[in-house]
Order: sequence, then C-alpha cells, then structure tokens
Amino acid sequence: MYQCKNCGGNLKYDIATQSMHCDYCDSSFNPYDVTKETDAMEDNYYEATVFRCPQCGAELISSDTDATSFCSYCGAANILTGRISREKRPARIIPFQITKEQCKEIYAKKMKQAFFAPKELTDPAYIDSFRGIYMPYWSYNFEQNGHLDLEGQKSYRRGDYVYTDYYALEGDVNASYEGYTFDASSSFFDNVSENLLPFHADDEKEFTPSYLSGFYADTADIPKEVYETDAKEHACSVTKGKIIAHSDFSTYGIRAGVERMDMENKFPIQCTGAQQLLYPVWFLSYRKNDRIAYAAINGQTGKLFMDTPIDFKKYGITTALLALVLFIFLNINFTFKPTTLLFASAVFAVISALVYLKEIDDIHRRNENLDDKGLQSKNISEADDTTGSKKKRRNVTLKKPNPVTFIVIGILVITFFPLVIGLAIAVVMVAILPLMFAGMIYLCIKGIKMNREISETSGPLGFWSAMASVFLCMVIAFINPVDDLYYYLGAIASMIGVLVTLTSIIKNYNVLATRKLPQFNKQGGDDLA
Amino acid sequence: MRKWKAFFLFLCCLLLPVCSISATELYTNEETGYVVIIEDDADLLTDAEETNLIQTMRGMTTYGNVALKTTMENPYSVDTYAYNYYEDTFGSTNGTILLIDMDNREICIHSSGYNYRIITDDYGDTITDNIYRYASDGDYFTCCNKAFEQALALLKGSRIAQPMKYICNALLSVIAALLITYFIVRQFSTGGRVSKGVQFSDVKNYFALKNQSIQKVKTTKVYSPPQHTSSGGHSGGSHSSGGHSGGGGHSGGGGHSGGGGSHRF
Repeated sequence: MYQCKNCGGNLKYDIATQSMHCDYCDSSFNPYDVTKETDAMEDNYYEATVFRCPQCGAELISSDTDATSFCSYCGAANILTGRISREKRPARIIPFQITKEQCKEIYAKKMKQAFFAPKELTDPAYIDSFRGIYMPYWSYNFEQNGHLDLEGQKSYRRGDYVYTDYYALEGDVNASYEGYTFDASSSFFDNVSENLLPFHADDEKEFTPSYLSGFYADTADIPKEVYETDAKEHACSVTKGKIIAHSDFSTYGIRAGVERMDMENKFPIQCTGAQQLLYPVWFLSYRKNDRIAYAAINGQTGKLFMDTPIDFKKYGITTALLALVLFIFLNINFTFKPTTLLFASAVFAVISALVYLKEIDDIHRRNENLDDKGLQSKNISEADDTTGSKKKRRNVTLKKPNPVTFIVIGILVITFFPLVIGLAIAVVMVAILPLMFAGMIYLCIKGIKMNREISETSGPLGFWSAMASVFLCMVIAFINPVDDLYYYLGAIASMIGVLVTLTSIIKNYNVLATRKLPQFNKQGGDDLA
Repeated sequence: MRKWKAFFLFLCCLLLPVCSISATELYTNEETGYVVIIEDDADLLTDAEETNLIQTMRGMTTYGNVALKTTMENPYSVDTYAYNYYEDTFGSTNGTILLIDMDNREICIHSSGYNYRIITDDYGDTITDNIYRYASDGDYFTCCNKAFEQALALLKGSRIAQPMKYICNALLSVIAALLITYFIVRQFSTGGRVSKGVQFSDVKNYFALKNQSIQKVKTTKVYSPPQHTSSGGHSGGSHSSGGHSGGGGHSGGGGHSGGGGSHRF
C-alpha cells in the first residue's frame, strides 16, 4: 500500500489525472515520488503480492495486499491465496489511459452491435467486473545489414525490335526495427493479445511499482525465444518490401528476384534487445458451465476483443424472419425443377458437412490451444521437464490453415461455376458426382476422427445426417427415375438431413465461441529473465 | 442490294400463308381469329376424345392459337421440335402448343407471345409436372385435358396447385436462412486472428540503401513486330439464327420468342 504523504490514506493510480491520488484528502502525487522501501531497485526486483487461483492456477500480481475475490481467467468466485513474492522488474510500462467508465462505454457500444449475444453479457453488474490488468509483453528490437546484389532489366521498343538492357544492381542495406511485441504470459491467450495490438510506445514510461496500485499485473512465464523467430520473419518481409519499393531500384523489375531471396542468409538479422513490458488491459470473463468467454479492451487505445457466444432464441427469431423473406422471394421468382431441387439439396448437404467439419476442427484447435504459440511452447517445455529429457527446446511451428477451407472453396467453385455459365443441370450432376463421391469418402474419414476427439460438441449425428443426405441425392441421381415424387421425397429427406446438420453447427457455435476452463501451471516470471 | 431486299420480302409474302396454319384447323374463334389444331400423328386419342378436348381448347383461343401435336418420330430434343412446330404452325403469333413426343417419351408445353408472358417456363414446368403421370399411365386424354385446363386457368388469371413448390421452397428458405445467419455470426465475431500488418503497425523501422550502383551488363535485341489491331474489323465467325437455346427459351433471327416446360413420362 502506498501511503498519502498528507493524510496517510491509501494512494491509488488515477487514470484521469495520470497521478497517484488520495481519495481521502484529494491529494495527487507523481508516481515516481511515492515509493515503498520494497520498491528499491536492488537486483532489478520489486516486492509484490502474488495471488494464485486455487482452481485454474493463474497468478496475478498486486502491489496491494488486499485479497481479491474472483479469478479473471476462470471466472471462479474464490478468495485467491496471496503470498509475498519478489518479482522481476519490467523495463517499461504503459499506464492505463482508458478509465473503467470509458471501458464500459466501449463494451456497451460493441454489445449493441452484437445482436445475437446473450443478455447476461449486457448486465450492468456483470460489466462492472471489468478488471484492470497489466499484461506482460516481450518487445524485440532487430538490426539487419547486408550487401545487396540483384539483376535488373528494362525493356523498350525501337521499330520492329524489343531491346532489353540488363543491369547489375548493388547497395548496402541497413535496417532496424524497434518494438515487435508479443505477450509473455501463458494465461493470456495469443488470439486475445494479438487482437489488442498495437500499443503505442509513445506512452511508455519507466516502470515503477506505484503504477500497479489499484490494478493487477499478470506474471510472465513465456521465454523470450518463443516469439523471436516470428518477429524476425516479419522484419525480413518488411525489408524485402522496402527493397522492392526503393525509388532507385523499383523501375528495374526486381520484384521476382527479391521475392526469391534468402533474406536470413543474405541479410543476417540480429536481435539487439528484448525487453519485458507491461501493457494495460481491461479484462472481463463470462463463465457458463464448463466454458468461459473473454472480453478484453486495450487500456491505451480502447481496442476491443471479445468472444461472443450466441443466444439461441435470438438466433432462431432472426433465422425465422429471414427464412420468411427468402420464402416469399423464392415463390415469386423461382420454380425449381425436381432435379434442380435434388441437386441444390445435395450441394447444401456438402456445404453443411464441410462447415460442420471446419467448425469441429476450429473447436479442436481452440480447445488444444494449437494456435497459441506461447502455451504450446510452455506445454512442450513442461513435458520435457516431466520426462527429465534434456533435449533442446523445440522450435514450435504452428499448423498451417486447415485444408478443409480450401476444399470448401474448391467444391463451391466447381459446383457453382457450371451453373453460372448455364450448363444443363444433368450434365453438371454427371460431372460433379465423382467429385462428390471422392469428397464424401474423405469427409467420412475426417469426420469419424474429429468427432472422437471432441466431447463438448453435439455428437456425430450432425455430420452423418449431412453425409446421408448427399448419399441419398447421389443414389436418386444415379437411378434417374421418371417419377418426380422420388426427386421431391429425396430432396425433402436430404434437406431435413441438412437441417439436422445445421442445428448441430449452431449448437456447436457456442463451444467454438467460448473456451475450455483454463488450467495453468504458472512458475512465475522470476526465472525467465 | 435493294433488289435483293425486295426479292426477299416477296418470297416471304409468298411463303407466309404456306408456313402459317398449314395444319387442320378444328375451330376458329371468330372474334380473335385464333384457331384450335389437333395433329394426333401418334394416334393417342379417339375421335370422341378429340372432340371433348376441342371444347377445353376453345377457351384458350381468346388469348391465342392452341394446338396439340403428338408424334412417333423426333430426331431432335423435345424443346427443339416444339419450337420448330410452333414456328411452322403459328409463326410469331400468340399461342400455346402441347407436344407429346412418343419417340423420346416426353411431353412439352411451348408458348409464345402473350401466352408466354403468362405461361412462363416455370409454369410450363409446373403444368408438365402435374400431368406427366397421366401420360405414364397411358391416359393421354386426361393428360392433354388437364394441361389445357391449367394453361387456361393461368391465362384467365387463376392459380394452379404447386404444393411441392411451397414445401421445397420452405425448406430451402430455412436452410439458406440458417446458413446465412451462421455466416453473419461467424463474420462479425471478433475472435479471429489479426493480420501481421495490423499487429505490428506500430513497430518503428528504419531502412537505408547506401552505396548504390547500377551497372548496365548487356543488351539483347529481339525481333517482334508490333501487332496491329483495328476496332472496325470483322470479328467472329459464327452467328445464330432461328436456333434453339436450352431451358425452354428461344431466340433467333426472325423466329418467335417463346418457351415452356417439358417432362419425361
């Protein structure tokens, strides 16, 4: 606790005045003028209370000793256990610029647009639980130097001849980058932290623990090496762009040559510094059963990120209204032939099966945090420690986007292109059947595998009903009966199957829009620097 | 050139009476001049059935010509045959024909002019969907009679039953609405990854290219005469005239514009 020099009251950092403020005597002080004995700079450490959530293991630092009553990460209403700890002093800090009231306004404004969100998310009591947390980030600086030699060319015409002049282009490249930031806490999910970027370095101040008064800070537990490669790759791509756009060389057709260039070898990039920073974030969690959703607001710029689950009732009403409009539109403008209808229902079945698989894949990736490089590296490191392995830390490479996305696009293009150019439906069906069949086999194998992996979703019925629909349509198209009734019944059965799949997709959406309750095993930031 | 035009017009005048209404007219509406024709080449109807059918078909002559054509031989598609038959029989006037093609076992309704504006391709499909079962069962009279009844109902401004259309459109609408709403929800959810450009937009960077040198190494020379293009030149080598385009619609030089629907039986 920081005591007021005038009355001895508790000083808190006041965002509006950017100073330490006493609520009792209304005095204000410069944050650097109020210190505790334990804030002394010895060994670059400062003393703080670390609160640990008994449920999820998340840790939050506070300069105050007051017990905190809930965990922002797992939403548990527990009295967090506190202990005095020596924490590594971050290099710099951006103090909060957005007040809690402003934060709530930003959130409320966004919620007005989130039409499908459950009404609990707009409850004032819930919104009031926004908590100011300083999140640890790594900030990297790089230098990149090297000698550039390229082949350039210029072409021009004289009469019936085209002349091409070839050039040798040379120069010395000097580039430097400051402020590549990545979050340094495993409890702060990458997709949340990335969505809050950028923070503007102009407001950075030298760290002093008094800035934490009235707020919390997360502990850093991700080693700085984890994100260094990502930052270097981006810096290299920026350097490439600068070379291509450079006014002296840009007219010599060098783009292809530069694109092929091995930047790492040609222009070695050196990390000239990695600092730990604290950036301000307003954090809110919404827990429902075993799932949790986060809302986070950049405490400097007001940029918002939120997981937005949906309210099925609102979704249903909107869908019904839209369906009514579409029904009127279709009745006025179209009368589908039975064959077209069967074909359309098969296409819808394929689309819904692909959407279902994509969603399941996304849920799997989120549940396992496969896109969270920080958590992945931590898990690998812990696994290595557990097994006593002395292997060198692996460089974590994230999986590339799922091929399902490309298959969706591919099948849509293949399916709709012939329609657009007006080929006969029968011809299209003949051409598309083998593709659909191959796609079905692939999807069946993938669907079986995925459904086994995820327990929270609504089960495999959603996937199988779409597949059965496609199969039914294919059988009818193959038999090609004269009687329309078979087509109509096939199309109706197929569409009912699609409806089952879509219902599953929508039910699963709330699993996708939320997260598994976290389980952290924080080691604290002391051992990282 | 003028001589050729005059000759062509003269030829048209000579051929017009031959082309139009060469088949047997069974009834002529004195007010409108439109006729009823039945050419039962496949011999599907008895004389009594033809007489009964004429009674139904007469009502349609208020709006245009009307014909029933049955055939045992058709080397073309049913749509092409119907188009050509209409062209040969009625030319560009208003009218509707019902074709029963026993060769391909298909029925087709083809309309033109005012009738086509009412009995559109969609309605043509609906009518053939409603009657093909009678043809499948060999009840050609009921098949034809129902077809003309429904066509007449449409021309009179009434509606015809389309139960399957409503059921299927309802299901399609619900599916499309669910998908659209889902894509909207996914699109506007803020949980996606951000681009590196946005993520690192505040990174301060410095770039300098020093000691540049640009040395010409060699020059190549390739013979490539410019290709002249002229905007007023001839392009293409194909044309269409009197042709048939699928899906029930037809367009072509000098031909009538019409369409309809067809169905196997």
